[in-house]
Amino acid sequence: MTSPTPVAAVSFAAVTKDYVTDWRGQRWRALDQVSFAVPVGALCAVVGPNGSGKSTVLKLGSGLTRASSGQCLVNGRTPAVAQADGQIGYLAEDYMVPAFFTGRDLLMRLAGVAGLNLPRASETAARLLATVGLQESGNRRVGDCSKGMRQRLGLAQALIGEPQLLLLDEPAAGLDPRAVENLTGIIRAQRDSGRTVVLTSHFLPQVEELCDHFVLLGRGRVLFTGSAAEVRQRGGLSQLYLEAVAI
Amino acid sequence: MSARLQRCWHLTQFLLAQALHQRVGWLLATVALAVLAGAGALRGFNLGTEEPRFFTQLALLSLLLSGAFVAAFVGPALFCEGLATRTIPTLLMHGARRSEVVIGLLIALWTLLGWLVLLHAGTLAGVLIAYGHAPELAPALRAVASGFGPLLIVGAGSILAAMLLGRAVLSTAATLALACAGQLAPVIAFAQVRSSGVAQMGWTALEWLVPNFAVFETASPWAAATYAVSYASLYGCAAAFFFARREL
Repeated sequence: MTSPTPVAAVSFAAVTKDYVTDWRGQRWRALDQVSFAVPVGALCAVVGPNGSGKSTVLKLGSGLTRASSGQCLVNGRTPAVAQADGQIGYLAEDYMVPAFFTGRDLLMRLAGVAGLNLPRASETAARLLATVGLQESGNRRVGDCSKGMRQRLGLAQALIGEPQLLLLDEPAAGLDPRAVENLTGIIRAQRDSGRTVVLTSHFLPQVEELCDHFVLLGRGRVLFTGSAAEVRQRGGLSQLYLEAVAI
Repeated sequence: MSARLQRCWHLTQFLLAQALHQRVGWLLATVALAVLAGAGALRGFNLGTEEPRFFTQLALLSLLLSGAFVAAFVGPALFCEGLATRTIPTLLMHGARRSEVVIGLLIALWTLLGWLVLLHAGTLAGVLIAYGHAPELAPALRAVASGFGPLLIVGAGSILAAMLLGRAVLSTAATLALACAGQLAPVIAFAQVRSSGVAQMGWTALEWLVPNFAVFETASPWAAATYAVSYASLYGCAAAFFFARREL
């Protein structure tokens, strides 16, 4: 008997997420009945204003936090199971790579935590440094690297274990246009190698050019979800964003 | 070595490296210098045959004080900074389980505290030999080694406080309060006997929750070690329980 092929890399079905905000048990609703699906192999952008729930979507997808109600699945399995199997690579928003490690040392240590022995961890670190274009700077202390290099290092750590799904929370935040271009090329290459990539961003023109699937969030609700063709039909992502968010 | 043990080993290494970069080296050096300076000052008094005992008590006091501060500041900082910089979520995404992260934090902190004990033992040994008290070395070192028990408990308490309270300042204050309460445990026992009704139940609960550090002065080494490991395990399990339910 063969298991059914999952139709979506990430699927949310009526997912609601409430955060407890103080000791009296007061709650704040970050996501409200959110439903969407990201096809396998897609490069999907989750966009929306600050506080719309983008990071919460990625945290739920990564298994770092649990939904209050509804169902979230990654390749047909719960995120916690997919995470334990190393199917998910995650770059957190504001991930501050420890400054005292060198890039190679950091990747080797994280590969060790992921269960690789020393020779394999060393080989993985060298390969990932080359993937993100940092083979020359691998022995530099992270504290001496530029923001763009650190962000590429953050992306490299997400690729340890060759995950099928990459969740990138604002990977281009704070980068200059050249660094954004650099990072965009790496992300595109990951999609071309067959991985599903879900990212959040505020750079609408760049993500419209880069991505082939979009989820637009506003106040914790899905305002639009669809392919690049559907976005073009509606006048482009910026137009769609301004119309939807103004409502 | 099983995969889980290997992961715990790598996690501990990672977290210990982070702890060492919180200027802990400077703190250890300052503490060693303080013990040396204190011994030099005591030398100015005519303490006669009691001199080795004074040196030993000075080293023990320095160990307990500096150990409580290391535990109170480094433990919560490791956890709270790990969350703020997203290091801990990143470790979890690489297959580390939450209980393993707690174990890694505990071992990293206990390793630091172990180094502090070794540093005090080494400094005390140097002082005793230099001042002609070499025959008193063995009991003095045993007394300093007994200081590791309370530190083991306070270290685990600091990680529990960080998991429970989530903020570095509150966790540091709670850890220092635990270190003080452990020294004042006889007072809690006295209040428990003298009170009645609900107050007595409260004091009884506190008596169970707070360790009694007087045990380390009176009990045999094995009993004291069992007591320290029991309390540290209890606090460690509670920390893992709270971390498993925490939003990241």
